[in-house]
Amino acid sequence: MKAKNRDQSLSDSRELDGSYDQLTDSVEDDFELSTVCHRPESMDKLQEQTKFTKKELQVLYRGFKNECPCGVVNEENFKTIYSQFFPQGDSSMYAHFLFEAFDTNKNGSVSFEDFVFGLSIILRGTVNDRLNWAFNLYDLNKDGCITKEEMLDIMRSIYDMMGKYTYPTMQDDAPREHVESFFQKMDRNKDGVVTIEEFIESCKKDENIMQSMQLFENVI
Amino acid sequence: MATGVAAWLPFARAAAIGWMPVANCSMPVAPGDNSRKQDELIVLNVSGRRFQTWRTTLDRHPDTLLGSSEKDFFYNEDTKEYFFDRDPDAFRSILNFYRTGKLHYPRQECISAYDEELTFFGIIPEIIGDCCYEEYKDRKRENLERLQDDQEDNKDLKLPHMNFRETMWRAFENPHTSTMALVFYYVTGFFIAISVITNVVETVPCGSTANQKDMPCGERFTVAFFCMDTACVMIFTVEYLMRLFAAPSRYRFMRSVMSIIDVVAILPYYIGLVMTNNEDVSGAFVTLRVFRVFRIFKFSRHSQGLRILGYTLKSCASELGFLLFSLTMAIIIFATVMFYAEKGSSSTKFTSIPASFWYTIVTMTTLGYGDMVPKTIAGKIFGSICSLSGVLVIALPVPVIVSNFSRIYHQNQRADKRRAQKKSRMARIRIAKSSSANAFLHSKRNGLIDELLELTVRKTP
Repeated sequence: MKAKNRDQSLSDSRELDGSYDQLTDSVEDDFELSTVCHRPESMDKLQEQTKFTKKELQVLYRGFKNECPCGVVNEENFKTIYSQFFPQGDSSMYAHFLFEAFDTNKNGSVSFEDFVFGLSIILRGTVNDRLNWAFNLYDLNKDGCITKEEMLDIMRSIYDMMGKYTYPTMQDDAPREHVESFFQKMDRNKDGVVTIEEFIESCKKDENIMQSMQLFENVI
Repeated sequence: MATGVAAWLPFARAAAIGWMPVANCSMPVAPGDNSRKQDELIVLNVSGRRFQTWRTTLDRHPDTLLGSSEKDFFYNEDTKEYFFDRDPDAFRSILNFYRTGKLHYPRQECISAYDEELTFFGIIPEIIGDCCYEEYKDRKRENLERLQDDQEDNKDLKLPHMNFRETMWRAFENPHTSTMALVFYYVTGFFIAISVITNVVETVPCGSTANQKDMPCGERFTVAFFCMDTACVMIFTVEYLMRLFAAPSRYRFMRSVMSIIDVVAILPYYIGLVMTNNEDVSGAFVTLRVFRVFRIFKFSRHSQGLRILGYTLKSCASELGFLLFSLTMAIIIFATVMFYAEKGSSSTKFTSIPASFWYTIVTMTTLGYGDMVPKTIAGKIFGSICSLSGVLVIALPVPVIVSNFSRIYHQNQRADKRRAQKKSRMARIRIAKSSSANAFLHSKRNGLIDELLELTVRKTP
């Protein structure tokens, strides 16, 4: 990425202004480019830790490695891949939240283990596990409770992802209204935040949500 | 990249967990994935070399031969593999296209062979990746030019039913087509030379007569020179009118460069005839005679090298423009500097900045006439910097122009060589074809004869 910037500066006049120091950047370049190349743990270990069979792990890894030959996904890549599934809207915010949720050790990149663990929970986990994972996704600052602002961010990102051309068209304050109705449903003690127990309890009581959970059975 | 992303579909479906709890109604059921049968290995046998890949890899591009059911035509039941009787080296890059999603053009492949392979496997060449696309386009353009050259030669054949006008036009454009055209070509060339020599000799001092000092030949032998000029102009006028008559598109012909040169070459004479010996306009008339020198450009119809030079200059217009622009910039800078440097010295020739322009130009092109010379020390320092930088600025665009010229010149030479060798090449190709056809027929005939013998032998035990 830095090397590209270096070439670009020949065509604009940043170089002439002296605001772009070529020398130091080039030295840093060499160290940055020899970045991490991650190899996952052995398949047996992964099989123990997740609920996937050997064949499923093979298929997953082949797809993963094809897309990211160096073995890890960084956020940019993640967003690009995700945007190809949702071309009509802007899915970058939602992809960012997803990335945060997958990246459990917070090192800025998702390795194959993170990827597979996350998928295992979502696709093969119990209902409690899934709800836990969803809560983790919503809780942006990981403090154990979802505030209205966090929920609003998430809601906006989902609405952005759907794009402007939905039918029927969404109003601009639709996210906010949706957040209100969500909090009404989930927040039992009306204290303005949703804790994990409230979340799991309310979801279990909601038939729609329980039915949707069945979706994940046949994904892979 | 899109090809591999299909493998991330489970992930995309799993990500739906994010909006599921907030959805107002239950989610629709995902469509059943029928194609998720067990992924199997396919063996592709290309002229003996076996390639193996997953079926899903090939299915990524269903609009090609390998991705669609068209490959079933090549399926061999006995060996359970797909057999293609094609070039295995070119097939490598085609298979890599399925694997990585990027099509690369291998440099050592012949461009037309590669194109044929792509067409066979149903892949459009436009998807060649950026890394190889320029090379591909360059080679393709070269090949096309070569083919076009060949085609143009074929146009020399006489087409039937050409009317008089078309025959004349063809005679003008290609002097080799008939003897008349050749005669016309040489006559016009001769008269152009005569006209140019006349113009030059006109101004040479011819030796003094008794009563007057040296006067130029033009004034001494006015009648002779006038007759010569008239003859040349008549020939040129007749030629121009004939070309105008024969041209397939008169409007386009009149706009072409050669026709403008023709007109400019003969116009001064006619204007001179029309104008009388009026004192006021005779000055302008003298200026007009300068345009007679344009007759020398008429030689470009006769000389291919001149045409190539003109074409090169046209194609290097941007480099020439850059040269001009940078020279102008440098001239203005140095002229200003020299003017202010020499302002102090007395009786200096650098009277103004425009006056210094002359010095700068002469110095930068390393001419150094010496009519304007700096006298102060600062002036001399800046003068030397000026001459050094002049060399650099002029040397920069010149290699580009030279390489352009060289490329066009070699192309033309190649075309000429091919044209010259065309007859022998055609004969060679004809002999090769006929000999192989003969051998084939011969072998078939021998086969038939052998069969006949066998039948007869068997019948008569």
